[in-house]
Amino acid sequence: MDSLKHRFPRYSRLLALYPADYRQEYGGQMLQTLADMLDDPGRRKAGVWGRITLDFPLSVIKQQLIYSGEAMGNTMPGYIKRNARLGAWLVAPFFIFLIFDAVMRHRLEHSWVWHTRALFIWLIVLPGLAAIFNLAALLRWVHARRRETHSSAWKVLTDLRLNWPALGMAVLSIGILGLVFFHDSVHCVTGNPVRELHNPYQTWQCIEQRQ
Amino acid sequence: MQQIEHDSSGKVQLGPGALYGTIKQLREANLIEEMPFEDENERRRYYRLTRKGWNLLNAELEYYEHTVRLAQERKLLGPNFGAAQWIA
Repeated sequence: MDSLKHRFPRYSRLLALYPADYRQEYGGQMLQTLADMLDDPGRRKAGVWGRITLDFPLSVIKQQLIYSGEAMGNTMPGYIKRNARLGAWLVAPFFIFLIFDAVMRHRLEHSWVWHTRALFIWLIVLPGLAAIFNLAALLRWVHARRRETHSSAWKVLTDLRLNWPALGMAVLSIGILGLVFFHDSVHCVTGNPVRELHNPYQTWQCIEQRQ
Repeated sequence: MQQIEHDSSGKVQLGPGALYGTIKQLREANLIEEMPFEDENERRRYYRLTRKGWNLLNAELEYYEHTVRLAQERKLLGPNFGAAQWIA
């Protein structure tokens, strides 16, 4: 297999994009198959590489999705999935509001909806709770996984295949909070660009005054 | 892969990724199995149908055989079989 790695250094490096189990089982065979295809006098080399160019990204994506699905079903802790699901419900009103506002060409911003207390809950409280729940799940995950594998916190945190729902939901909900504080609410304060805003507290006060 | 291309008249063209993805699926479904090594230095690995794989293959072939027989009985397979035909 080493000779094939030398023969196809780029392709063998790209095989690292497959899930580890798959690569271990089939990586060598894939290199051998590529060598057989290129050594076949009945095939044009350009044609073989053209097919590899199409085949490789599609199969990598497919295998990663399969692996993620399996990992989600078998290996991923229940609290990661549960808190991410809960987070999705909590941020759903924000997106519903956003979609309605876009569909109604921002008329929602000038209607009674903009002055209701529910808006504060939709835009701040619920995404805030989603962020807390998912950050808590991530902390628990990092703690448990570090004890189990003796890996660094960073390595555990970036093991996306096993924590992506909670990490994704935490990033999304914090992103919503950031968006509300540093973008949308700027209109509330000055109706002008972000640089006019000095701190989140000012934004917070503004939102409260609007209500 | 050559066999697949030949049998499908070049319509199915697999790359290594699609080929081994399919092999993995078939192995997980217990339809094929890896044959024992004859030579440890041999890089190629060989697979064969399991009993379950043979049963499924036979069931599929029986289904197609039945379909063709039915088409023959209803005279759907005319002399121009293979050409596009609209059936009212």
